[in-house]
Amino acid sequence: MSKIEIKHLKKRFKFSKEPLFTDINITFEENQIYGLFGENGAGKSTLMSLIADYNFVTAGEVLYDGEPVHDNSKALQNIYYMSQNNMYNKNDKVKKIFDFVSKLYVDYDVELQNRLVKKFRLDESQKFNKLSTGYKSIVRIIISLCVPCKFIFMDEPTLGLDARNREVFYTSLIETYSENPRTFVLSTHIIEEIDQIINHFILLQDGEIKMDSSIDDISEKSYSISGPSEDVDKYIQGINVLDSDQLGRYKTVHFMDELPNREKPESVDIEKMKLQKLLIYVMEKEGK
Amino acid sequence: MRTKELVKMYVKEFLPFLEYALIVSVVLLLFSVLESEQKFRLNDFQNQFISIPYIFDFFALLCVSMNHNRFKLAIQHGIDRKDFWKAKLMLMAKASLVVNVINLVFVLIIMKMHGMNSLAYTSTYFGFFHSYFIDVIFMFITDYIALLLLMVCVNCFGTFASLFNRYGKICFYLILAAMYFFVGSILAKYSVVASFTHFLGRIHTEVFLNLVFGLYENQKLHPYSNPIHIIISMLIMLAIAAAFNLLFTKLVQVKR
Repeated sequence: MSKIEIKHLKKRFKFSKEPLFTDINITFEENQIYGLFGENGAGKSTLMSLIADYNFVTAGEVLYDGEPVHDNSKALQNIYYMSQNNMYNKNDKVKKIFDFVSKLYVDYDVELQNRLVKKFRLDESQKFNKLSTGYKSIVRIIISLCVPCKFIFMDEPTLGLDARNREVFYTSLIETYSENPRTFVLSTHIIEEIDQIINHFILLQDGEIKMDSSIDDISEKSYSISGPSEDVDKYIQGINVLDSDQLGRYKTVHFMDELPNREKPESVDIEKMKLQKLLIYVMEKEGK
Repeated sequence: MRTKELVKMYVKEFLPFLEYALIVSVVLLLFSVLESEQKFRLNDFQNQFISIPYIFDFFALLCVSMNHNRFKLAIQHGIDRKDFWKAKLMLMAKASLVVNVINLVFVLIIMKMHGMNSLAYTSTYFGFFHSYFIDVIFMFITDYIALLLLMVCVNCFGTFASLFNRYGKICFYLILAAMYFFVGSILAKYSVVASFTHFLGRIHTEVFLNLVFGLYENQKLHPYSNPIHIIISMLIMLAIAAAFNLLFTKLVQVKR
């Protein structure tokens, strides 16, 4: 199984006062869907660009199967980075862009591409620069889903997409992942939409990886308990609460721990804590 | 395979530049005919015709100088910098070939119009092999390598400039402009030119000129200069320029 390892990665831009990354250590395994989260300016796009050898690290290593990624065509052929920036000739028609990309990859999935074009209702005869922001993202998404690379990094894939097209993207992603498993790394701010898709959660903050966990591990230990405040307080006595919301008598508490070893009152509801809530808490806590 | 597909795309992008060169050439020829208030002068037309090969060369250089988008596209699809450098060189080799085939036609017409002494190459090297056909072949080879060398140097320059951010580029171009004006101003001083001429007179420039350019001092003994020397010199310079091009290409990063 292939993997991408990042070891003690540091990155400082020229003339900047602070380094962007101080010590990044992370491994991307094959056939997983990762969600990469972080505040604005945390360095999600830069991290992806370093992995794809767009830009160079200041220190540390990015390894593909133990070999450095830099100037390594074997590694780079298996890594695709869908950046927010447009890399295609603006005056080319969409069909021409697709034809060009399909010639660059031996196993490019043309059938999937045609299906996605229909699903997204993309007009291939349009020039790329005449497309709306959303449809430019769609062109990039289609190419990302069709390239035969083992690791696909998608930076804000849903940028500019309406609700319908976002739904099409998520269902298409799951379908193609089921048919042809490979690793997807999605960086997005719309957490509540992708928390059902990803199976691994990564939080990038203050130049480091603050959280790197599977969704199952997080779900096992993160709960939201709601009900009448006195019942909730009684039930969660001794538990370290992350956050709580109260509306009149009704209270909701969020915590990351095992459930209390006592009988649950009937008036109290237990559910898995929403990833968004957890992320906000962690980001606020680390920011203090 | 991926590099070849990339080169095919680059060559397709290059072809419109030949159209632009043709349009500009036709416009300039028309102006040379129409601008005269008197009746049509064949001389004006013939004089303007000499500039056509240079127009095609200029547009070819323009095409290879606009490189950063090609680089981004290559990197986007997992082509490493060394393979991209190979793709660039292949583009320049093919572009140079196409332009020189076109220019050869124009040059042969110019030679018929104006005679052998109308162009620098023909007045210096044409006739060395005592065979018109072989002389033309070597003229083609020399022009091809000269244009390829120029393309690699221009591309090298552009690649080097792309290593800098906006402010770095401004500084770089300002330094170049300052050097240009500085050299121009000192060459305008008679004392500097005189000193330089005196210096050249003391060293054996004829050996250097013969080795690098194939030029002979004794025109009566050697009426024609040897183009093989200049071809070899340019090939060596091409190898050095290509090496620097690879070095700079390996340093380029995609900007956010």
